[in-house]
Formats: sequence, structure tokens, C-alpha cells
Amino acid sequence: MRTFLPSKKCRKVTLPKLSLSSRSPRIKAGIALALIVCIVLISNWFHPFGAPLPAIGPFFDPAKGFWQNAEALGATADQSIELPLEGKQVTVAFDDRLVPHIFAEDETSLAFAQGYITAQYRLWQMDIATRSVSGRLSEVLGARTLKRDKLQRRKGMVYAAERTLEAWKKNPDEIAVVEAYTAGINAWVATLTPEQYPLEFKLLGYAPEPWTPLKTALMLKNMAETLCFRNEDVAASNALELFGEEQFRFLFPEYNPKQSPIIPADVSWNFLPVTTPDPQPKMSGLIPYRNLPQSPEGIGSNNWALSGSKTASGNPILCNDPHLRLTLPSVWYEVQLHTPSLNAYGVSLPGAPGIVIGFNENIAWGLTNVGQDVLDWYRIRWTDKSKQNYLLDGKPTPVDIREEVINVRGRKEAVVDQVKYTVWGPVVYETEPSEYLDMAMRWVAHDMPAEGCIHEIGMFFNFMKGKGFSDYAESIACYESPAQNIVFASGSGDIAITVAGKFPIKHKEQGRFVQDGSSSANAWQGFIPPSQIPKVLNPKRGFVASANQNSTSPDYPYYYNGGFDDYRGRYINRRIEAMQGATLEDMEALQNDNYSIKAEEGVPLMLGLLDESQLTDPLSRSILADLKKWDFRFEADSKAAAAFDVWFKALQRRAFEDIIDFELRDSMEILFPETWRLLEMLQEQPENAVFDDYCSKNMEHAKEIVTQAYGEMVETLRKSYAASDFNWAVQKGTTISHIANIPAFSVKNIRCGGYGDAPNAIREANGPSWRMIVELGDTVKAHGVYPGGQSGNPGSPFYDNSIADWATGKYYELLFMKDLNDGRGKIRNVVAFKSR
Amino acid sequence: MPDHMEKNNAFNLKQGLLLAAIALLIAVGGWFTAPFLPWWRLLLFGLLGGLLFAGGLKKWVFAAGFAGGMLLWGLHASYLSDLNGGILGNRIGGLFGGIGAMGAIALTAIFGGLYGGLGAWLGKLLRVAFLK
Repeated sequence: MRTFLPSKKCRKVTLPKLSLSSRSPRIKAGIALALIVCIVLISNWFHPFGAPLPAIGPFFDPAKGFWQNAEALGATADQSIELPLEGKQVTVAFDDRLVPHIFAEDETSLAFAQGYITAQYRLWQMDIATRSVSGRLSEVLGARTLKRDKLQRRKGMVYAAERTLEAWKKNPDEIAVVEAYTAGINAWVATLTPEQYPLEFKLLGYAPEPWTPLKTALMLKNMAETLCFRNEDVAASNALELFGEEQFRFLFPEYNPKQSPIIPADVSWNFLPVTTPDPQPKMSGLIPYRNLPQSPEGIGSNNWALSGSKTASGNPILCNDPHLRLTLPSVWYEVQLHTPSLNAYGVSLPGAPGIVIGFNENIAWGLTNVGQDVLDWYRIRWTDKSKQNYLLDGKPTPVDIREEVINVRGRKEAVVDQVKYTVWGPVVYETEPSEYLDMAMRWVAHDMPAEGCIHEIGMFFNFMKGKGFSDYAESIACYESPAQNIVFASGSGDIAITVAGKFPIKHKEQGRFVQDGSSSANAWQGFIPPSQIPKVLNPKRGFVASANQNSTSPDYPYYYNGGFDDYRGRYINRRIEAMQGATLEDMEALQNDNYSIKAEEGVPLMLGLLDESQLTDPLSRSILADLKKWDFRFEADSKAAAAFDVWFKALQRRAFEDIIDFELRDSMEILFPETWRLLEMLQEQPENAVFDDYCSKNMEHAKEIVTQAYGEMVETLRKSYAASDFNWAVQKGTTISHIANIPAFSVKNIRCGGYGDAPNAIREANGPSWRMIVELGDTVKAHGVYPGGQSGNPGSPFYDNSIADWATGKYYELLFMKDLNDGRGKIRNVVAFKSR
Repeated sequence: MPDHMEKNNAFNLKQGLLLAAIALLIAVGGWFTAPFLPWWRLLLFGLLGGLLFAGGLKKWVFAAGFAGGMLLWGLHASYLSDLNGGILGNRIGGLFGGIGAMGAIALTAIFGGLYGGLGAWLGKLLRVAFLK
């Protein structure tokens, strides 16, 4: 080596010497070594210097890091995998949209394979969803999610899931599929090396953990939280206290007379209802608590089924589009499940075995949410400041303590919260200035499911195997939560809908307001017997339909309250009523229909009240001309739709923001009148004092408020409206966000029409999360689409491949295979699972 | 050709070979040990290259290490990104300020280069300090 030493001449052109003396090369080397040790540590550091970055070294290493999640495009080879299948064999054919068609010998090997395949494509989504619902996010995300985790524990989500699992365990068939599904997920997790972890694990710097049956129960509680956690008790109590009885009744009537309920009004109730005792006196006083985070408006759905008398083919058609928060990875995972005794197709919830919304050769089923209020708040009176005993019927009653241990990433010590359980449920609110009063929650989703019958998972498996109406009716008999309008159609010609769930028997207005938890007389009066819940089979009108509206007309013998939709249901019923000879294409058109009765009723009313003499500038006049021509359709390219939306929101705010003193309004939750009530008041009582602007000297009526709101709308849109590329789609800016809200993994500003109060209920961040249309009969014809893709991997071509088709209302013909040879040229690759 | 120039060329050729050996050791070693060693294998092979070959080299050692690491990670990332049609590269590029798939590849190559280069530089310093 020495012979290659550069000559003196060369040395002259070397770089200037470092400040360190060349006479101390060991010091130099030592400093360099220290520097490089630092670089190694920094490169291995998750969130270096607090920056939201993964550990740079492992993340960028192409052999281990994110590049390993770049899936190769093009063909995939067939595969054979050995798995612990106890002598059974499963074959999975993936079609050209990466939908797995799983052919198994029995239900447990089917569930095993479903778990394995679902985990392969959706593992991180399943992991983060169960962490989120059970209050375990801080374990991986650190202290920033601690507040949310604490709340989830206070809400008793794990407590609820544990009870559900306990009930499943008493039913051997049900627990068997849950355990097989769990084993399947874990068989996949066991194969993973760190370089194979889903991308988000690498980004967030943690490792997958094994699945458990409890996590499957948590996934269903997650759905319950999304769908039946909404409540307005605090806001309603405060509104009643502030407005007084008479004004409260005027502003907040419970039933929209224009409503078109789910169960047609001509259905009579041939049963003797359970009698309820007289209502208890209402509690007085303002409630200082703020609402807990709730699902946003727009979580709802449409479903309907047409009998053969209304369709072109003479076969029943069933349609369903559940509206949920639009996310990537998608809420649903599409799948076909086949054994010698069942063949079903539809969408599954990653984390739960079976098919939630789907069809088989004989029947189809679909779900929409029931808006009935099944969550009530009770004030707890403590006997002393230690809050260990509360008063119940005058007696001190001890609480049950459930210790919640929350591990926090980056902290040595776990956070421990002691959640107090009362006869009502957990004490969620414990922050009031008063040391003697708190608030506990009574929620159907906490209840121990009934014994001696099947539950959610069993119900879905029974649907998958169902042959006709009796299978459907038996399967839903024990269904409890979240309550769903379960629509049904069979190839033999039956159509039906059931408002399925566990519903408390309430005296009038019970649970509308916060109740006194020191009196057991305020408890629910039991539950509506399953035989008396609203349902209808083959109604005279030839169709059944639901869109989150009231379950029944007011003559239903039981009182119920809740949040109900007022426009989609009316429009869908009106449209189907008028339909004859309906085809799959007609159904597609109705699911994608952007017409809104809210606009149909609101625009003429508002234009009638608008003082046009005040509209002097050209933009005001041009928007007015557009609105007068508008067909009430929220199409992507409509400008009038954008103007109406802004105008209506401004009107709603101006009409009610000063309904009460501003300071008071900002300091507590107060209920505001519903949209339909505002329109009704504009029509019937435009001079009512409610429209007066509290701050101005003059007396305003609806006319002035409508005109002021119009002016506000014009100013809001002044810069954008005239631009050639401005339209409703731009104004709405529908975005499908990655679950962790990572913008680079989200799809933003999708060009699409739709409106929350139109059948095509695409809002900014919620909308139809699966559109399905099924025609039963000798050959089942099914169309479907959802806004995402089968793979949860942002590095896969199947991550968001269906969004463009979904946005433009296109559907895919669903490949419902009779057997493995029925691929019709659409099979991409086949994976054989052989027993190890 | 004047005598001194011939000498220079000979030196340059030898130096070039040594530099290439450092780069090659990082690229080849980094590739074949990927199944067993984490990302810092580039630093390790850089260090080894520096210790073995940099004794007589006054300059370009860091650059040679950089080239080795950059080539390995850059080419590997390009290959994976190409098979993937740039789908993931674009999304990761979006995380780092919208630099696109090419940007994500470049960033990967730069990190690979830094690790290889720093390893080689340290190797050379250690050799000078302890083995010379």
C-alpha cells in the first residue's frame, strides 16, 4: 500500500487541512467516530428532534424500508402456501380488482382464510382501528392521543367489547368462526419480517401485534360508536331550561309532518304494547358539560328493495349504499366466501369474519342506520367528595372501579385512570366545578348481549347461508346494536325490512333530556319485545326502503326519539313509488341521484322571501338568475348548487345564532332547530319573533334574514363564482383521507356531485362507502363499487383504483362465481392454502 | 510523454482503482448482507473499505464511499419504483414536500451516499491513526 502514497507534488493540491492538527490523527479519528455514532443514533431515531419523521436509516433503506412496500405492477404468479389448517384445503382466486373468492371446505377454514387474506391487505387499518376504539393509541403515538384514549376508556368501549365476547363464547358456532378468523390473521402476522410490515407501521415506527377475538368485538363496538353514539341530551336540557316549555315545543317539534317513515303508514300494529309508567318530572337546571365528540352529520345510508311487480325482469332487486366517513384504506373489504353449504358475496368489515352487506344465490341483505336514541345521560349525586358512593333512591350506593392503565410511548410511567361504574354505566363526565355532581352514561351498546341466541357474527353467517324470509327473520331476532334497518329480498319473491335492534321502552320524552340518576324510577322500562319492533314483509306498495328517517309514523305504540333524516327518505320513496319496470340501470341512477327535496322546498320559499329590490350589483342578479333556473340537482358542474348551499347555511346561522344571548350560547351546549323546522317556520310564520336579530334596533322578519343571508352568500362567492372552473364540486371539495390524515396518502378535491340531503349523499368527507345493486332470480346479477381499493397499501395499484369510477357513478359487474372454474377470464391469480 | 506525467497517470490509475474498490465494496457488501444487516451496513462496509484501501489516499475517499452507497440505494430504489410504476415513490415524495417519485429516489440515493461516504471517511481516518 505504501508504494501508492501520493507524491509531494500531489500533496500540494490536497484540500486545506482541517483545523485539527494533522499531528494528532487519533484525535481526528476519535472525533469522526463520535460524529458517526451520532449520525447512527439520529438515523435510528423515531421523530428525530421532535420532527414528525420516521427513523431515516431504516425507512430509506431500499432493502428494508418503505421501498419494500412498492408492489410490482402486472401479473402475479399462482402460489401454494402451507398453513395450520388441520387437514383442510382452501383455494383463493383473486379477480382483476383483487377481490378474493375464497373456496373452503367448511366455515372455520373459510373464516381462517378470510382472516389471513384480510390481514394481508388491511393489517394496519385493523390495528389502528382497534387501538383507536379501545384507547390504546398513545402506546404507539405518544402523549398527543392521551386525551382521546382516556375518553375512550371512560366511555367503556373495552368493557362493552368484553361483554360481547363473553356472549359469543356461549355460542359454539359463533366463537368458532371468530377464533378461526383470529388464527388466520395471526398466521399472516407470524410470517411478517420487519421489511414486510405494512407501510404505516414503518412510518409510525411500531410493530404489528397478534390479533385476539376481543379485537373483533372491538371492531363491532367501533361501528356502534360511529352509528349509535349520537345524543343531544345536554343541548336539549339547556334549551328547555332557557326557552321554557312553550317556546321549546315551538322550536323543537319531534316529528316532521312531511316525513315518509320506513314502515309505511298503512301498516297497523297488531300487538298489545308493554305499558309504561307515568313520566317522571324533568330535572331542572343548566348542564355545564360540552358534548363529547360525535359522528359528524352525514353518517347515514340508503337501502331499498323492489318486489318483482315493480321490476322489468319480474325479479326482486335490492340496493344499499351505506354513508360513512370516506377513508383510505376503505371501510369495506370486498369478498366472496364459498363452502359446500354457502356461497355469498359482499363487503366485510376488516377485523370481523363474514359478510356484512351482500347476497347469496337466494337472498340479498343490506343495512342502514337507525337514528333512535339509545344513549342517555344521568346525573350522579355523590354522597361525599371522595366520589366512591352515589345516592340511589336515598341510599348510598358504591361504585365499581375499573382501573384503566394507559401506556404512553416515550413515557416510563403508565397513566392510570379509575373509571367509576354506576347502575347506569360509567361516569364519563367528572370535571364539573361541583364536587357532588357528575354524569354517567346509559348505552345499549354496553349491555351484555342476550343469552341463548346468535349475535352479530352469527347473524351475518346465517344471512350468508340464508334461503328465504324465515332464515332472515330468525337471524335478526336477537340482533341488538348498533340498531339497523335491515332490508331483505329473496329470489322467491319476498321483500322485507326490519328496524332491528335492542330498543329501550321509554315513557314520553324519556332520554330526550338529562335525567336524575338518583332515582331508579328514571331507568328505562325494559326493552321492546322483538316481536313488536317495526317491520314489514311484502307491503302493498311493492317496495321497502330506508334512509335514516323515522322508523314509523307517530301511531307506533312506543315512544322513541333520536336523529332522523328528513329529505333522502322522502325523495327515494317518491321516486320508487312512481317506478314501474325498474332495471339495474334505474337503480344505479337513483343511487347516484343528486336531487334534493331540501332545495326543492327551500329555494322557492327563500326566493319568495328575498327582497330582490336590494340586489343591485351584477353578481347578485346573475346568481339569482342561476338559482331561478336551477333544477335542485347538486351536480358537480352546477354553480347554483354551490350558491344555495352557502345561502342556506348563512340563513340557518342568521336565523338562530342570536336565538339566545351570545355569551350564554358560547358557554354551553344549546340545541338548534332542525332544518325542516326552519323551512316550515319560513313558510308558516315568516313574521315570528324568532327571526329578529337580537343585536339590531329594527324588528327583523324572515324576509330580512333571507335577504341578509343572500348578501352574505354573494360576498362569500364574490371572488370565485364567476370563474369558469367554479362549480359545486369545487365548492364541496370532497376528500377521501388516509385514516392517519396523511395528506400524501389521501385523495383530495374529487370532482363529483352529490349532497347530504340527496340520495347520492357525497359530502366533504362522508358519503356512499359501498354502492350495491342485486337482482335475484335464477341468475343473480350484481353491481357494486366503493371509493377506494382492495389493498390498504399506499404502494399498491389497488389502493385507490376505484375512486374515479365511484365519483362518476360507474359500477363493476360483481363476479359471483359458482365454483372455482367459473372465473369468466377475470381471475388474476390463484393461491392454494394447504394444510401444514 | 514527460516522465513526471507518466508517473502521475500511474498514481491516478492506482488511486482510481483503490477508490473504485471502496465504492464496490460498499455496493456489493451492502447488497449481499441486506438480509442480515440493517441500514448501517453501508457505514460498516464504508468503514471496511476505508480501512483496507484508503491508507494511501489523501482525497476522494468520502466521494468514493458516497458513490458506492448512492449507486446501491439509488439503483435499488429506482428498480423497485420502476416495477411499481412510481405509485409509492410519488406518495412518499408527497410526504417530503411533493418531490415526486424521482425525488424520493434521489433522497434515498443521497442517504445511501452519505452513509457509504461517512463510513469510508471514518475508515480512512482510523487507518491513518492506528495502522499507518
